[in-house]
Amino acid sequence: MPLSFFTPDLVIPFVLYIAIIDFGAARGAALAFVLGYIMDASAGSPVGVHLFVVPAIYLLYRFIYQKLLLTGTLFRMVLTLAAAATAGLMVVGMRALFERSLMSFTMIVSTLLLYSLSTAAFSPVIFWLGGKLVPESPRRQEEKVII
Amino acid sequence: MSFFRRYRDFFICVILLGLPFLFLHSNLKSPDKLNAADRVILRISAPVQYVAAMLGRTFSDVWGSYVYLVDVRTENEALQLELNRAREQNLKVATLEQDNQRLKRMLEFKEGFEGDVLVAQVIGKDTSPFFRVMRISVNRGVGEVRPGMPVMTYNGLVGQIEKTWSSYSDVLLTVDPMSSVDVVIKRNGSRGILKGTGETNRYQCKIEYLLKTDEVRIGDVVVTSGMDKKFPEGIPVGTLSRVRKKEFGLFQEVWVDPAIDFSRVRDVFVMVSAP
Repeated sequence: MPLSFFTPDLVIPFVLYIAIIDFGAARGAALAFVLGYIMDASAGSPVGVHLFVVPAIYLLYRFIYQKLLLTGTLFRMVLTLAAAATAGLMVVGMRALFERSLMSFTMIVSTLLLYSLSTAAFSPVIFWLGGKLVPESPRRQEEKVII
Repeated sequence: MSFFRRYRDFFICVILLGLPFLFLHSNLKSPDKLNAADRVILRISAPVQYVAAMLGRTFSDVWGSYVYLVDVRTENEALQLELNRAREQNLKVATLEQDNQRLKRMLEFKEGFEGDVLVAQVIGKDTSPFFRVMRISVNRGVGEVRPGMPVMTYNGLVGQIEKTWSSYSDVLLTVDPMSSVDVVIKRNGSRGILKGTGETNRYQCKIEYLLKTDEVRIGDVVVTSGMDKKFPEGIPVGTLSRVRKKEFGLFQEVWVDPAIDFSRVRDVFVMVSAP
């Protein structure tokens, strides 16, 4: 199996981090938009794929987190696993839709699984780094205490 | 609160999610099917994409160069170490070569010399840059060393044994003012007495009692005459370096540069019996 299958996505956990801190919907989406653009520009994918996927993941998981409000490393890893799987599915879907590029079912499942697992495995580091770069708002910390 | 402010975040999010589809749509279109709107979108996205790609490439280049330089530095250190080892080995080989040459010449000298000689190692010299004393060590049991015995190398005369104790001896060098050796000019046989000048800044001797009528030239080779019965005949002593003929008197003044460099002597021969 190629090593690239195990390459983690470092942007998805970061976007999740800004989704679970109180960063603001529009501000967070704009940041995710920029990150998605950088991913498209640097990854060689058609401009628009990650440009859509990353902000979409941000908004979707921000909404999900607001409903669940769970904390802890394990929860964050599970959330990252789900987000990475969703992002992967979105990319596959968009490619199928716009490029008419279809992968086999087995290939899609194995790729998504490995991509999600490796991304989830790296998520605690990214969350920690995210905490250093963009500290959590006091309001969100208070909410955690109440829970 | 106005309508826009109320739904601002919502509108922004919708725009941010909608824009990518426009980009994607324009990017995936065949160039000949692009319309004006597509061209505008591509024109907007292309420079940004170019800058992003350039930044990525620059970062990659810098990182690549750094990694390359790290490798170069490691390689440079390894090569430097190898070079130092090679230099050290080269130096050892050169020293061995010099030792080999020296020992070969000593052996040739010993075999060619008719009298009996003992080999002695120089173990001490005066601590000043221009010493006048040399201490040698002779292996006990090989032969007896007595004061007055000539000391030489294959290059020429060193001096004579001044005093001896145990297996050590002090050598009175030819450049010492106390030293006197009966010498002749090899070219014409002019005779005189060689004495050290005792100068502190150089090794030099003078020939005394050399008749003014004797024709000598700078560069003439001076050898022992053997007349004094202390030194065997024909051992090189030095070469004439300066000649001065005085207006009055019988003798001329002649300076001699020694045949050997006393500061570099490591092994000497002590002549224990005359040829």
